[in-house]
Formats: sequence, structure tokens, C-alpha cells
Amino acid sequence: MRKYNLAIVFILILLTISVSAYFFYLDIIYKDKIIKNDVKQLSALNNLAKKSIIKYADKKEMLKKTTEYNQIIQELNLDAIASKKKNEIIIQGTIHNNLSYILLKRLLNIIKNDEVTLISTCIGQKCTKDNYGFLIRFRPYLLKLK
Amino acid sequence: MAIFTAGCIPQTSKAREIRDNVYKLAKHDLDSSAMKISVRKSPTCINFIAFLPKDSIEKENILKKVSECEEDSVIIFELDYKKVAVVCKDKKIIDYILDKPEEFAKDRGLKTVFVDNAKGVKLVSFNLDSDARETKAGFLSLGFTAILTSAIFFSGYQYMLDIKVNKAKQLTLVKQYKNIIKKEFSKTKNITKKVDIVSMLEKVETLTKQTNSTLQQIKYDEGSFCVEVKTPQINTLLAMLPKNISIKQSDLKKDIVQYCYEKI
Repeated sequence: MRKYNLAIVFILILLTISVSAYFFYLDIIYKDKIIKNDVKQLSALNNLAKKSIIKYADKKEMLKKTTEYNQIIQELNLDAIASKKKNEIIIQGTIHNNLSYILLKRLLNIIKNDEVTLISTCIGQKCTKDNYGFLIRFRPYLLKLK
Repeated sequence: MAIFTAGCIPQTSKAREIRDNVYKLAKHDLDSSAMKISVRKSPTCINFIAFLPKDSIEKENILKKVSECEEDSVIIFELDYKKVAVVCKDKKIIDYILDKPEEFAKDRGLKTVFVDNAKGVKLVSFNLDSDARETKAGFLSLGFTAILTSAIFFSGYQYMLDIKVNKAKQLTLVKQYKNIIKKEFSKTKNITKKVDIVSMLEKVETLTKQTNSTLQQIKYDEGSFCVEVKTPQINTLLAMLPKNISIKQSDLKKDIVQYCYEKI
């Protein structure tokens, strides 16, 4: 009888160890799986986040933009010229009368709605060599949303 | 092969040695590793008697009789419906008889004593071989359990270390991700910042018209928006300026005021 009792206790201990080990592993594996998935997803997200969705225009794009603005100036019939200088596009012109001032405001509106970063604007005296002129400096950028 | 055995082993006080000696002698005679035995001390040695486990005998009174025998005698008892005996001399078993013990005693002129085993000492069953086997099996399974448990916990520990590494990696990645997003967001915000110069110009125009002033220069540069006007009503203009404006320069002789918007 004593021998059987011992055997039963022994089996019970083994059973307890097995069951607890099973749950212990189940928990570990479950946690590990979740964390591993998280790490994987985060790595992918990090790689995606590192790719900027915005960047400043390169030389080619700058030249294209300069031509575009010269066309706009021509269409507006403004006495001005757009030129590329290093990383910026500079528009300088002369204000002859009220009409040129209104046209300048239209140009400023176009710049505001375009994909460019306005750096500085100067309107009036001592902005250009002319008596009353304007000078606008901006830098085009590109959006990569795809 | 004998159906029972009896004899005398050397005196010792060690229980294990008595057990081993009896077992060794009885195993040889009975040809079995399992047996029922009884031992009793005599002045010169230790008397023992052993039976096969299947025998009907459960109690023995034989060794008591042996310890009482003063002269050479044959102690007869019944085993499996058959008369058997042990020969005793000076309270010591010297032989055992498996067949016709009465004739044996008569031939040698020895005294015969009949034993009733019903009220005797209970026999003890034991099997050293199986004990040894069981001990071995017990140790083996205990060892196996210990190894298994250690292996389980060791691999669990390794797994946990792995999780720790992954968790640290996860935290670093989360931190890194937040930093990247923050950096990229502020970068994008700076690049795409829109300045409504036209609406500012319109505000300035209204103020200039109201004070009959002339615009000299309007300058926007890196967040600051400054205006220079020439006005005949310098005090009126200064009074009309909104609160978020700081006056940079005010020249009463030349009628020139330069003011800047703090934030646009």
C-alpha cells in the first residue's frame, strides 16, 4: 500500500511538472511570437519612415521650375526675371505702377500655392537696383507620396 | 530444491549483515530470490529459518523451541501436509530434514519435539533482488525526472533570454521609429510651411491708406515681416498699430516708421 502511495505521489509530481511546463512554454512561445512580430513590423515601419516623402528639387528640376516661372512672369506681363542661384530661385523685378503691384500679388499667390518654400521677399525701395522693385527667393521641393 | 531451509549464521549486531547472510544462504537452498524468514539469537550464533513465499505457513514457533533445546533433538513441524524438521544442538540449528524426520530421530536415538506454529512469530517476507531492482528503477526515474525538469527550465530560461533580447530590440525600434517620425515631420513641416504674404500686404495697405502714408519697403525674411513707411501722421500710425507689432525704428524728423510683426 505504501509503495503504491509513493508511486501515485511520484506520478502526480511528474504530471504537475508536465502541465506547468506546458503552460510555461505556451506562455513563453505566445509572448515571443507577439514580440517577434512586433519587431518585424517595427523594422518594416522604420525602413518606410526613413524614406522621406519630401525632398528639395535637384538641379534638373530647378531649371525646369525656373523656366516655368519665367513663363508665368511673361503671361502676367511683369517686368521681372526668374533665375537659378545655387539651391534657390530668385525672381527680381520692377514695380512701375499699381498694376505691376497687383500682378506681383498674383505672382505671390501662385508661389504660395506651388510646391516651393518661400525664403524671403522684399518689396519696395533698396530691394533691387531699381528705385521701386521686388526680390523673391524660394526653393522648390518635390513630394513623393507613392 | 528445498521447500524450506534453516541454519545458523555468525553473531553480529548489524541488521543489514544478518539480512544479507540469511538471504545468501536461503537463496542458495530455496533457489528463489523471494522468501519468508524468521531469525532468533542463540548464545553462539543467530538461528534462522526461511520458507518459499507461496508456502501456507505464516507464523513459526520453531526457533523458540530451538532456543529452549538443552540436548540434541529433532524439532518436527508440518509444511505442505508433510512432516519436516530442524536438528538442534546446544540451542543451535545444525541441520534441516525434508523427509521422514521421525525415522531420522529414531535411527540416531534423538529426542523429538512437535511444534505448533499457530501461536508463533510472524514471518517476514523480503526479496533483496527486487528491492535492489526497485531502488535502481527509482533512482533512474528520479534522475530522469531531474534531468527532464532541468532541461525544461534551462530551455525556458534560454527562451526568456531570447524574449528579453527581442523586447529590448522592440523598445529600441519604437524609440527609433518615434524619433524618425518626429524628425521627418518637423522637416516636412519646415519645407512645406506656407506664408500668406498677400494677406499681410493687404493689412499693411489698409493701415497705410488710413494714415495717408507711403510704403517704403516690405521685407519678409525667415519668419519676420517688417514694414517701413513714410507717414505725415506718425503718432496716429503708432496709435493704430496692432498689439502684436514691435516698432524697430521711428524717426520723427524724417517721418519714417519701421515696424515688424512678431509672428506671421
